Amino acid sequence: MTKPTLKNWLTKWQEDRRFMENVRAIKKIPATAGEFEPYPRWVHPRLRAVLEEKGIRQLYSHQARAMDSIRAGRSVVLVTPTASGKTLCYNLPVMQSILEEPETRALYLFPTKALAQDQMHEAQRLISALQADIKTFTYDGDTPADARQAIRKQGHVVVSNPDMLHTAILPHHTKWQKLFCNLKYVVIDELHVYRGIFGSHFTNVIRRLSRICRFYGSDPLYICCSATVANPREHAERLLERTVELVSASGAPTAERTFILYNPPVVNRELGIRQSALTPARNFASALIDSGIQTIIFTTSRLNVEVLTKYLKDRFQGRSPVDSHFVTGYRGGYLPNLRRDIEKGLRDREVMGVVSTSALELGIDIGDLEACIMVGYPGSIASTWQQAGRAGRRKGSSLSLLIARSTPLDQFIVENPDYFFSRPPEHCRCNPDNLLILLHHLKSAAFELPFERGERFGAENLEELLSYLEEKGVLHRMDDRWHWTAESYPADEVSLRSINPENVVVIDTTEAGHARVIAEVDWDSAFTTVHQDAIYMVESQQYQVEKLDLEGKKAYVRKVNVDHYTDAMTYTHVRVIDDFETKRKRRIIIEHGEVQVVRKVVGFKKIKFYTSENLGYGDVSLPERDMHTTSYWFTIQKDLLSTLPYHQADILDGLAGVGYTLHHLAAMMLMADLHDLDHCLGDKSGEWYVQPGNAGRSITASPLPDSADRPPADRMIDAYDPTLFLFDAYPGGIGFSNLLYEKHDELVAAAVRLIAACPCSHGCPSCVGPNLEVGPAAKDVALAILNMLGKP
Amino acid sequence: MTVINRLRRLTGEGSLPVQPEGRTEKIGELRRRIDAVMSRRPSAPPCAPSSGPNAPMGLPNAAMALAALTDGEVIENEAGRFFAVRRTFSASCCHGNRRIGDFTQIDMPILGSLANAPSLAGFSLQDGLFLDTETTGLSGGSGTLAFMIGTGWFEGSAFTTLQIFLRDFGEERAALFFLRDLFAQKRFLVTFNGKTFDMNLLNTRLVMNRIRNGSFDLPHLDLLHISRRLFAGHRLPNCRLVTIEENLLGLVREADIPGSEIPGRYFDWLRTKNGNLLVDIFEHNRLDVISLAALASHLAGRLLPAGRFLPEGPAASGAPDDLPEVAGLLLDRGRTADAIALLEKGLAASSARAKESRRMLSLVYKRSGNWEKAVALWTRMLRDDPANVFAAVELAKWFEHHRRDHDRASALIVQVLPCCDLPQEADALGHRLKRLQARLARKS
Repeated sequence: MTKPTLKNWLTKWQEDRRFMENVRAIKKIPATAGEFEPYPRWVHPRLRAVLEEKGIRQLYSHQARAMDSIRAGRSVVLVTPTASGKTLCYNLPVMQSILEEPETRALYLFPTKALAQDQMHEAQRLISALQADIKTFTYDGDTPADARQAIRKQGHVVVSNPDMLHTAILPHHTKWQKLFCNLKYVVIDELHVYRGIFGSHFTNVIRRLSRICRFYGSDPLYICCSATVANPREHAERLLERTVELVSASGAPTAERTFILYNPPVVNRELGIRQSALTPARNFASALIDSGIQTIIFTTSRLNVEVLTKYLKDRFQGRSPVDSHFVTGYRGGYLPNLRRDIEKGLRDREVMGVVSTSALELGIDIGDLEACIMVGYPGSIASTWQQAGRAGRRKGSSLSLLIARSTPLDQFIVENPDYFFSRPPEHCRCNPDNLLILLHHLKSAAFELPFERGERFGAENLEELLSYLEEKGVLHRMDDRWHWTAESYPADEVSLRSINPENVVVIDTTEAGHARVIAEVDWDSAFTTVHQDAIYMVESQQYQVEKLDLEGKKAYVRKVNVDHYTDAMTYTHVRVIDDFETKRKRRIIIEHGEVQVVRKVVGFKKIKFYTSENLGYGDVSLPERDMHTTSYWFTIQKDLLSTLPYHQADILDGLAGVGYTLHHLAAMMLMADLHDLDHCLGDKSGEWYVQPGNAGRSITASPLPDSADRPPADRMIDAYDPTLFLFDAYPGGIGFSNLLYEKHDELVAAAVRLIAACPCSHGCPSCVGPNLEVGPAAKDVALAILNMLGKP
Repeated sequence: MTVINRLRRLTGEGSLPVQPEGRTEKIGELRRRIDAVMSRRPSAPPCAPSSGPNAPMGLPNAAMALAALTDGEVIENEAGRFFAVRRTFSASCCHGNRRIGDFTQIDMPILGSLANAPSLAGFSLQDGLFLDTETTGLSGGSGTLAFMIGTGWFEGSAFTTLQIFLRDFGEERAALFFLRDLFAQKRFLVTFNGKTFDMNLLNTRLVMNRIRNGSFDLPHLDLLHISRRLFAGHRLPNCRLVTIEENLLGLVREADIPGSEIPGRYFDWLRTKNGNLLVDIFEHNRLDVISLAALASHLAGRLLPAGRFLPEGPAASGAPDDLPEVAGLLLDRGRTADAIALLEKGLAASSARAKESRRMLSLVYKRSGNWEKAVALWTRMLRDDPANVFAAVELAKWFEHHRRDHDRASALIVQVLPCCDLPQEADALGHRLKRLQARLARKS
């Protein structure tokens, strides 16, 4: 009996009523023929011969276009799908240039070390086929000290990451004189990764790089590759602060692909709980792998990788006893050798099923797989296409199957297939002139080279900032130059990726005398996750926090076995400091600007496992945290709200629901993590805010000292116009609020669609929030409010 | 709103009193620190008129004050000007427990061996440049500056120090030009940790100042490397220059400024131009440079070829203790004969490390095929200490392979087998014994 093919399975599933009930969209994307161009005349004959030998007889049209632009001295950003030969777009011009002028140097930047390794090997294969004396090295934290000097002097192509450029290369630029004097190309792959905080830092690192290049008299071209986002060119120009040419129409042929959006059935209508996405994932993956269809399964967490791998290994145990790799997991944390093994196993088809985190999403070569199952929406449409691109590269047909979880994002995506399949709505945003970020990099830049009067660095008034640093004693002005005058090494003071480099370590003191560190929690999360009496979980073991020592940055915990977990209650209130722009829509005022956010953890709830029953409350006493950031907000006049046929309490619940929904959708639109944004319901003056309390939602007067004499809080809603704030969860802002302000209508429309399509009865985590939290009327009221907002 | 105010708001400084008060307070604190500096120095030279606690600082006559305090001068060249302090120490001056003049009795081939640069043999000691910098930080990187470059050289049997000092960042270029010319006049370089630190830093500064022609590159003797090799562990708790001075050079510094305070002092100088902040640093750096000469001489003395030992001064009193290290260094540099001579001379001395020296010597004999001497030495070692596993095993090997005397060989192993401390050693001996006994059995 022959095994069913992928086509057989697709036919079978489409005839299966139970399967089809859960399918929200099946889209057949037909194969496309490639568009080809001959090699440009300038390509070195040896280079061309080597490529032709590899089977590359001609170039895809986008490759030819990109190469022509680069050859003509223009920086480019390339936006084409996975497996469309992006690597060649930069490797060819770079190698060509080195063949013509052996002193030429190039710097490649990848966001991860693994990717850098992979790309270095790819470049080396090309070089060894060329038999040319071109040296390419990775330079990262793993590079042995004795190899570093050779790399600095001899490496034609240095493959590194932005963090290394920031802490090791730029501050020691004199050792890299050879590289910087001859730097012709800077290649930046996965450009869309540099957004939000990372992007804001990244632009500043590029500013520093440009300064150093100017010092050595070089002016490199930038060759960037990005996943498909709404604003690739704008983003590239913002990051690099120079004009960049966009190359986007892919000339690579594509195979036929079937894309299925699958929403697991609702198992509890009341709570809006769906079947776990892991269940159908396991079933479909088993069926496909069993039929000899090579399948990759993406999950959103390391834990799920392990869980699903175990399920599949159990399923196939004994089936293929010779090879323990028949199905396997793959994630960061596996040793490099094991990962190389698995990658090779995938290329050789010895591994038939792999369960991975997004670690395999980026361009690591694993060959052509047939099916890709995504357990949970990967967080952005760009990532979804990158993951889907792992299956079916050039020929045959392939399947991409996205299984939604209960989160609003997942639900919105599968319930709005048009949104997903049409033009990408996601914007990359960053704010390189965030004053705190800018200031960090000004210090590093001053360390690298003294600043001179008239120099530019960012959009702010440089001279004022330099005087500020002078006043702080870290710079010293001599005539028209500012010199670094501190003993420290400023690049070590800031990490490009994290919000706050400070961490709190979690120490298990269960065994007296054998205290051990079990985890690290970033500073901001520490307030909500390891406050005193919190239940903290690591690998499903529960620990109770005995003491949080903020000064020593330590949390002491002890193993416990209880039937509940804890959820911190935080009050947040926001006060407007400055509005940058205002627009009105009927009686709704939409604005963005600078705000002051005060947050305090006041207590926690004990919540029972499985039933989510509330078992009681506890108090927490931690200091308030105060931050200035940017926000987008809108204010609804109270008279307008009072036209709605609901009680005041219900309206409050509804507004809270709107906040929940908009928060999730805004994160989606910005390709941001949920924690990069936060929301708060209050009023513009910061005089009152809404606080979820022991007995439902209540309006509370702000605890600011100047607000002592206030009328009773519960009358506030009559007195003030409620305002919903969505703000950047980073001091100084990361550049989100401006876009949200512009996209206000789109955001509201998306929220209406999400809530209206949600099958739950009274609100659930997929739309306005869990109904035990938001109250029974929240869903209806939220929809009514949003409809009111959306009315033309 | 100004950027500064926005920044203050972000960092939460906004509510604090700003500028004027802040600045006064800072200057007040600086004054207190300067006062502390002054009161700690027992033999402070007469203070400059501006150094009273209430006098205004940063006066235009700061340069004059500095010149008066340090007896220095301004040097000018095509790239600008900078400040320098020159001193000459005659041959009869003391540094630690020796005279400057004594330092000049350095054997140049030996110095070449230390530096692993045989070309030094053809130079004279007066061709050497001794160099030590004071910097704005220890982290390295392009933001660290050598604000003081202490140099020194022998003129006849006197020693001259010349300390280049940047009164401000603008003087660096001229200073580097001057230093470049100095390098051109000299033929080798002596530093303490200069290979890793000072020279990297100075070459970085050349690049930063776009001085393209020329780099600071001379045959280089880094005394830290040699000192570590010869003294670390058994003789000195660490290899800091101060430790070496106290233990080997007989120099105890009084009221020396701790190295960690130096960058801060310089930053304070930049703000106040109060020369009193610098007097200690000049003194500290000058001692460093002279100590380089003293240490080079001391180290070279340790390696003197046989028959040319200097009369043992107090500094070299413990010399036999370093025999294995010194001999090891000589062997590394290919001076086998010198190493043997040194070790043989040491045989007589009954030092704590005689056992190590003998062991080393016996292996040198063995490697050079001098079996007679090797066997004699092993026999002697075993006679002095019948539990000497090393000597017994070496002798056993010799009996086995050269004499085919398996009886004697196995008897030796049996003798020391119970003395093995390490299980692996005992195992190895067990194997050897078994093999020998098997041979014996076959023979009989």
